[in-house]
Amino acid sequence: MNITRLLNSLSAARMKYESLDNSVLNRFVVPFKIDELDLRNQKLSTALVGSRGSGKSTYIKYFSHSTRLHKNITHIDKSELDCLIMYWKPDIAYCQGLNEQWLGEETAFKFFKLHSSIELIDEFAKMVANIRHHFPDHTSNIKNKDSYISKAIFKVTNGKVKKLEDLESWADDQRFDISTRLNPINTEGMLSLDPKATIQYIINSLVRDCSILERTHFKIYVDEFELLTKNQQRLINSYRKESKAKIGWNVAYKLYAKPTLETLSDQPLQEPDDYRTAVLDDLIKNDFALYASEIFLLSMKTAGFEFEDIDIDPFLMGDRSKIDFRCEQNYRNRLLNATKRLFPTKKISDFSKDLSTTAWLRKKIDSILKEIGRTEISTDKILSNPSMAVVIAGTYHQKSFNLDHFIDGKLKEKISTFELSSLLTFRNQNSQLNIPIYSGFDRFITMTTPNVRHFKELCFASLKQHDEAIRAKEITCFEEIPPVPIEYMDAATITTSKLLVSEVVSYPPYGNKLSALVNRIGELFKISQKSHYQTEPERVIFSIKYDYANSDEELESILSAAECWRVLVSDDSKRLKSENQLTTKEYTLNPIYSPRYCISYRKKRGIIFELDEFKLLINGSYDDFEAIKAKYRKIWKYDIEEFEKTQIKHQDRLL
Amino acid sequence: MIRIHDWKLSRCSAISEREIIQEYDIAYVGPGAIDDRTNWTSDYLNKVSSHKHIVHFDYPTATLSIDGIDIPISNQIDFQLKSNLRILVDSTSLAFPEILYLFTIFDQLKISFDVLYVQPENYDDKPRSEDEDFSSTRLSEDGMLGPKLLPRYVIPSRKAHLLALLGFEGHRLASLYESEVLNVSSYGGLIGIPGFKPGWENKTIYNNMQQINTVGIKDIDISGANDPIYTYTVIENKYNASKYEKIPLFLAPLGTKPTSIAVANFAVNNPTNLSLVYDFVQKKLGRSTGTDTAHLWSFRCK
Repeated sequence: MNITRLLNSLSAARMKYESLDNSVLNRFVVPFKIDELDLRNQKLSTALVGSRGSGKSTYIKYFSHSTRLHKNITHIDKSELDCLIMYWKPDIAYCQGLNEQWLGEETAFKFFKLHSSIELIDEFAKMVANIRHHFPDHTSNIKNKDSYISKAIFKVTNGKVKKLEDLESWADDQRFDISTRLNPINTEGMLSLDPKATIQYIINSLVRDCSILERTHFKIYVDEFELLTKNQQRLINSYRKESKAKIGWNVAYKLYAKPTLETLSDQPLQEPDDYRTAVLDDLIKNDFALYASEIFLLSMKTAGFEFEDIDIDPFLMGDRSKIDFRCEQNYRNRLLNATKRLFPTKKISDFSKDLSTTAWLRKKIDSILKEIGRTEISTDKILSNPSMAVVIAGTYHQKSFNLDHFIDGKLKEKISTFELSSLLTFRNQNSQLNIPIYSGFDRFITMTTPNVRHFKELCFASLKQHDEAIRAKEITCFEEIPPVPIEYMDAATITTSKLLVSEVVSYPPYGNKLSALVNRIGELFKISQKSHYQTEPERVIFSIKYDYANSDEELESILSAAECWRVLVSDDSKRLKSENQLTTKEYTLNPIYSPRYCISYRKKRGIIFELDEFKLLINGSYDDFEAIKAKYRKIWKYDIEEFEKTQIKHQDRLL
Repeated sequence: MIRIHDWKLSRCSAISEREIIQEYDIAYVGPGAIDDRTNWTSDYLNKVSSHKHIVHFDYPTATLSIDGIDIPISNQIDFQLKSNLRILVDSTSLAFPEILYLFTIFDQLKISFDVLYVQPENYDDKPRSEDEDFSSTRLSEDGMLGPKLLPRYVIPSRKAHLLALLGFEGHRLASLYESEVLNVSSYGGLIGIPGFKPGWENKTIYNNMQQINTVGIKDIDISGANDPIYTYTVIENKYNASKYEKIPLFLAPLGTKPTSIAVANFAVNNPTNLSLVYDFVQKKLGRSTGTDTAHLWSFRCK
């Protein structure tokens, strides 16, 4: 097995899976709670929302006719026809480009309606082809020249198409025709179609020809809905409001996006009367570790890795009737163990144990004992409890520090609270110390939930670091790949984290601002983590003294974009104590960014920014930020001189 | 149809000594000087042109504003000029959309014109500290609109090929991809080689490498960073190839101004089956320092 070649083939992790027919057959791992959100069973119009990378499009495609009635499936039960889903991802650049100021409202609408109608007709044609493939006997009427559907498509296409088979190529011709009509603008002789009326007409005609579809509900899902222009959203919202049981209009958009609820009439959409919001993240977060493992292992299998001990079966993972089997302890354990074996997680206390054997910690404890005048206690005694030794070294500057309480075992809780924080501080202060904390399956899960793409990237990057070491070995199957050393995982995680941070600048429309925000918040928390005075556990949370009442639209817009792109993660829990309770939201950087700044991936403590200060983090100059850093260095007693002294001492020791 | 029929170039310092090469009746410029070279062109235009008109394109209203007068972008842009006027376009201070629509107007009116561009001595793109991650973004601010198709050049992106003309700001290419608004099926890149100065092409490649991998660009073309004529030829070849394959071509001018001039020139001459994507980034104050070579391209209408 050529490991390098296989690992290289995994590099396509970044690229989204796109197929021409929209099918995700054998490529979709069914979430365990899928039955709680079967898109076909929703009575009301649905707004499917999910954070970036949660797999909204794939989820809809799984329920769409492209997957359910895929031609590679040998037997399809008639019950699949109870509800048929059509998936439409609008050509957003084109739709946004239909600028009303340029074309005039009427012409812009005309082009949008025609574009949507053509795309939906194309999707309809594909759906009918799938139905005919699986139910030829029940759809023989369609072939008939005088069938309702033949007449309907003849009418819809202005007499250009007589046979359903020709509908897809007609749609292609129409797309080309549209592309020639905007420069210069020319609507003469152009088809004029309304998507709702058109789709209703052809579906009703189809049903009249095929009695097997009499009870079928048809649902149309409009993906990337938030990116359509406001007027285009209003049109689709009108369709959603008027959705009937037979044909329903639904939308999907990013979590935290705020598409309009207006319709073309003066009656806006109202939840729960007109629609219901379904959050995909809630479905995925549940049991994310197993779900992410399955997706990772399936990717390995797809790349060409053989499995001997476990059966990685795309059919099993893509079959919802097998969820119960996948939830069984035996299956769970085998899969989770396979991934955990490859990416072992070292306990925090084991990092302390390793550190306790270094001359650095011994010297540090020695000097602390001298500094606090407790030389009667032996360094060995302290080091015999590595976790305690680490926390003593990390917190001895605290006013309430009491060595005896540590030794008497009264501060077990404090040790567990401050151990990770202290290790991170040492790592920040001393780059030569080997504390590879950002490693292991469990931490990968903590840092990436609910983003499967990020999880896979951490796994693949770790394997690539590992590649050099295993290249020489004769590996014939997945199980023979030796566990990835924690140092490799740590290095890979930092590289991946840096890459993902550098990606932020390309998140439109506020890429620069979001990049500044991430980098500056990261740097501030790094200063906190680097400080000798760890008076609190890891600072990674922040909130802003702001009431979120639309008084600063730009700020809210930037924060909303940050959440949409999942650059920031907001939380309702109140960890920060606000003097006047004005702050209603607490944020952290996406935990996947924490390795870049060597800060903690878990939520503990943080800071409350004044509004002006926070705005300076986004818009301020280099000098503004330097001033903010100086302020927090002072607050957090970040002593550069002391830090430099430690570095020099450390280098001396190395020499 | 417009074509470059003459290209003069000289060091800015030499032009200052010789004072004036040619005089103009009207010069079209961008609003406000932001760096040494736009200060230089501003002074220069004061000497060589009787009138200076400030040009700005506003995407939301699809209007070109010339000295505060809004001109809607439509099939026939409603703008008149006397035919014998000597016109200069200062492309140094203007952004791509303004250059495109000015070219469109001149083509429509069949008026010849000159285009001035001044290369900088240096770009202010060095990180201020080793921790600063966003050095490549030091040249411009957010566009606030995200990538958009420019009016008149709006076609469906399905199955299209996108040719990105790349510059120092690699994240601009990534933002086209990340925005999820484009549905193109393949990406190509054009890098300015040779760059304005020896070694600058390495910066372009370095700053775009991650994005080139992410987006999956397999074809990279090259053309001199200050050569609109050869860049035009490269685009033309791409366009002909796309036509042969019956797929639309999208152009994203994210690179140097001379390559953007080539895009605008080509778009004016080939309005069908061509789309233009632009991200409307705002140039930062002090983004470059010094002045180097000044180029003067003379365009003639056929």
